[in-house]
Amino acid sequence: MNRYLWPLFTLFAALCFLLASRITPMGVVTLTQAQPEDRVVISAPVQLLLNGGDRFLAANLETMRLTSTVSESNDSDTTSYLVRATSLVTQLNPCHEDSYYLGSALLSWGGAEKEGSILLKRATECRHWDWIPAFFYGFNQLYFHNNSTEAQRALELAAQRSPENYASLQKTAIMIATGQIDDDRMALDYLRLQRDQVSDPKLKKMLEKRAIRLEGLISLREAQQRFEKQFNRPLNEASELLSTGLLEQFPKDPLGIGYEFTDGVFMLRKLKIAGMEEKR
Amino acid sequence: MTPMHLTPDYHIGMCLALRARFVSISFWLLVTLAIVALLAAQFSARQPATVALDVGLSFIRLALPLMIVFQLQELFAKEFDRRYFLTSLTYPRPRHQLFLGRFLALYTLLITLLVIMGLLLGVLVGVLEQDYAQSTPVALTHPYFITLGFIAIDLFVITAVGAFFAIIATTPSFILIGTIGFMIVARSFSTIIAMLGGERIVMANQQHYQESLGLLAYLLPDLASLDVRMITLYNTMDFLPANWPALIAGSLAYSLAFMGLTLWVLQRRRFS
Repeated sequence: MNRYLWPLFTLFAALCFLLASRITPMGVVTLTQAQPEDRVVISAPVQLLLNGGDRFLAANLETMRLTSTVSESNDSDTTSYLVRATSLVTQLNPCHEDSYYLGSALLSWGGAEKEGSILLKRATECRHWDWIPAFFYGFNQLYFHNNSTEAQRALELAAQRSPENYASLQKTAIMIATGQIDDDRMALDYLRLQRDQVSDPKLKKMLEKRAIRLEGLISLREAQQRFEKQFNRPLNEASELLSTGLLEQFPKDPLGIGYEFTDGVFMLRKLKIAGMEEKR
Repeated sequence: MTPMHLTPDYHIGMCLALRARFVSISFWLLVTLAIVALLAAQFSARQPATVALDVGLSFIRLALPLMIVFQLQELFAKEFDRRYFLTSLTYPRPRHQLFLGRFLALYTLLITLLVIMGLLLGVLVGVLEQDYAQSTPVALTHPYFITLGFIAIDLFVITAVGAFFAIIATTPSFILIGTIGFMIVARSFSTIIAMLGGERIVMANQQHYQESLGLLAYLLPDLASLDVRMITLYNTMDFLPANWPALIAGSLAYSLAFMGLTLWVLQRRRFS
């Protein structure tokens, strides 16, 4: 009898613990559910200590967490998490290829192009033999920041790093300098190229959504051109496209961020990320 | 004339380590290394071979110090714990011979294991590289061997410091805490100082922390700069620190100083 006493006691105590944890006050539970869902990224020095002083391991583990758990919903929380996680990896190992590639693809096209450009700039500096981050950086400068001098400089850098693509990259740099480049089409080709180069199906889907978003923008800009040709006056209100019948409906953004019409130009709307605006 | 017969202590050290299941633990470490490297490659979208090599090297650098601690407990702590010194130190032989013989036996076994692990990892990464053509291939030639050589120096420092803890310790767990604690601090402090120098950390009194952490550089060797794996990960020798001869000399001098201190303590230690 005695030898069954202690296992029984342990079982009883475990049951008591389970019961006690079930009967938590309802208020506590609802309070935690009401909080917006955000993800924690532990700061770099702490990560370093947790990984036994191995910054490469910490960078790899954070990138694995990022690639395998990033959610497809594209709200500002996801983007905020992406910004913090990729900049952490950049701090730990700025040469990490997956981090800059995913970060630039997901951030630049997900409404956080400033952060995407910072990431690419650091990757360009660290990976001093690699032409791809320099090319991406130059592209970002041209397409999102309208900074053609910086874009031209980055593309020339990319050309120097890649002997096999030297001619085409140099040509693009000259086309940028002379202003004879079709930004939107080039952007779409580039995004599709990025999409075709990744192996992960989930990531492919995410990049596909970004390509659809850009196609929406291109259709808006083309409708605007047709409007201005037809009526010989600039477009004042975006809704005029619908009332004149040039567009049946506004294109849907699969990311749910949308487009904006400011100063007579259609743009991709930017995301406001809490806590990231005032940092710079 | 094999190395095993160089000194009796070297031979006994080998026997003790092998009796403490060195071979079977090494086997399981190799199996784990293979699994870890292959799984890590699955998580990478653009550079599976690089990530496999990276995580594999991290595993080697974490697993071998644990092996050091375990073997130090077997070779030194148990000697005192179980009062074997009543026979092993009563011969008319100097005490330093026991320490140096066993230390060299342990280090020989570690280097053997490091070479086998390195070969296994190299083969695995080479196979992975066949699958997917990366834009930046890994370098499995001389940069890889240089990286493994630097890891061997790193292990020498850790073994020397761990042996000191093994000699002064009164409980075996102190060796674990002391050695692993030393390893973590020595491997991370210089990186943390560099991070505090960057503008991306929001913290009050940043300068103050940086200066006080900088004092550690006088006490500890910079094991983080002995981690030169970027030369093999990205196939660029530029990442080798320019002051590498000084780094190696400094680390070896630090280990030898610690070994001298250990011998001094061992000579004066009173066994009861």
